Amino acid sequence: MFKGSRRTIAAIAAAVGLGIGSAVWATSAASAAPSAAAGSAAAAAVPECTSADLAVWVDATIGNAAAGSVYLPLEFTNISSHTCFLVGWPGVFATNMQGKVLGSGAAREPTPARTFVDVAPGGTAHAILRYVDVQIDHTAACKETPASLLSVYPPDQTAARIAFFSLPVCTVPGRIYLRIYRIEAGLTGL
Amino acid sequence: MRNGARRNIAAIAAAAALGTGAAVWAASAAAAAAPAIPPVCTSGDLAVWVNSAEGGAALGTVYYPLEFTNISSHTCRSYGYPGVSATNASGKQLGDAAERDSVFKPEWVSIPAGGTAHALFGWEDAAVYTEPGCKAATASLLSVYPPNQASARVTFFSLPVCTAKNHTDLLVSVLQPGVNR
Repeated sequence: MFKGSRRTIAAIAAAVGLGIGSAVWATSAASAAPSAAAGSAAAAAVPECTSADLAVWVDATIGNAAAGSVYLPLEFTNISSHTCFLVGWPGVFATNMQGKVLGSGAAREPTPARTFVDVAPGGTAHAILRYVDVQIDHTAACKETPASLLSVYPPDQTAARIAFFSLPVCTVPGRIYLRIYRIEAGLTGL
Repeated sequence: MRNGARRNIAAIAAAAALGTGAAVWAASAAAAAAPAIPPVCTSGDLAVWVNSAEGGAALGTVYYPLEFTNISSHTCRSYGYPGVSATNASGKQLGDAAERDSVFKPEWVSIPAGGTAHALFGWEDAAVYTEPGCKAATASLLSVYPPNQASARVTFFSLPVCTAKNHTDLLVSVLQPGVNR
């Protein structure tokens, strides 16, 4: 019985911690071809992307290392069946597996210029996320700890999406170790 | 909401960027020449990621779409099982590689430039949390070999896994079309 309850708790913890929606994977195996609706929807007004329209992820393979920083594409994939637009900055926070925010959220960088970005169904837009590794150390000013997730608020949205993010971060507020740029079209600018 | 010409232009640009035309290579009879069969997706063509927004919990297992996004500028196609294992931040493999789950039949999956295909990826929390001798440790990454490719792509993955051998805690299916929604 200990075994059973432990298992249930783990399943619930995972479901809550990762922001799992109501859809069960196995029942939604059929999926539309990417961007198939882009042409036919051209006459309609394009709504702003909601959190539920998007899956958010970090492209760990295209990290571009500079002195003291790694630049990672933070990707926004349209998982809805309609085109939607994104504009401006997302809100970005690193958290532990329980969703507790670790230190300060990402500071906004004033580039590139504010641009409306349409994202077709199955398509992806991105913002560059700068991970300032030079800020992260075991000093009292940082108090390094490993993060598990990013909590990402798409622009103008109050619900966050979760992405896996397993890099060390600072837990002391005010120590800025993430910087976020405005959303741009396409998969990556790197 | 926005209307007007700039949005239409953006929609056309998005359609072009996503390779809408190339996506229907199998049916594009209007092309002057017979459409070429797309090349097999290489590891360099793909970014791999776990879609934590669309996980679904079943008894003892959480299923996620393991996404393969075509970051190249051409349509490519893929067939079969990816190879998946959890690693620490240094890339050291933790426990066994993912076991194959034959829930879907293999099929050729065409991925347009900018488009995404997926496999079913299962994380068996019941095994991690209840099996004696599992020696659970928190992973940092997944190392993913696209089907028939000899080099891996990495993606963030920060859940606990068994570090001991002979504890099946990860499952993976063949590739399927689309992002999965």
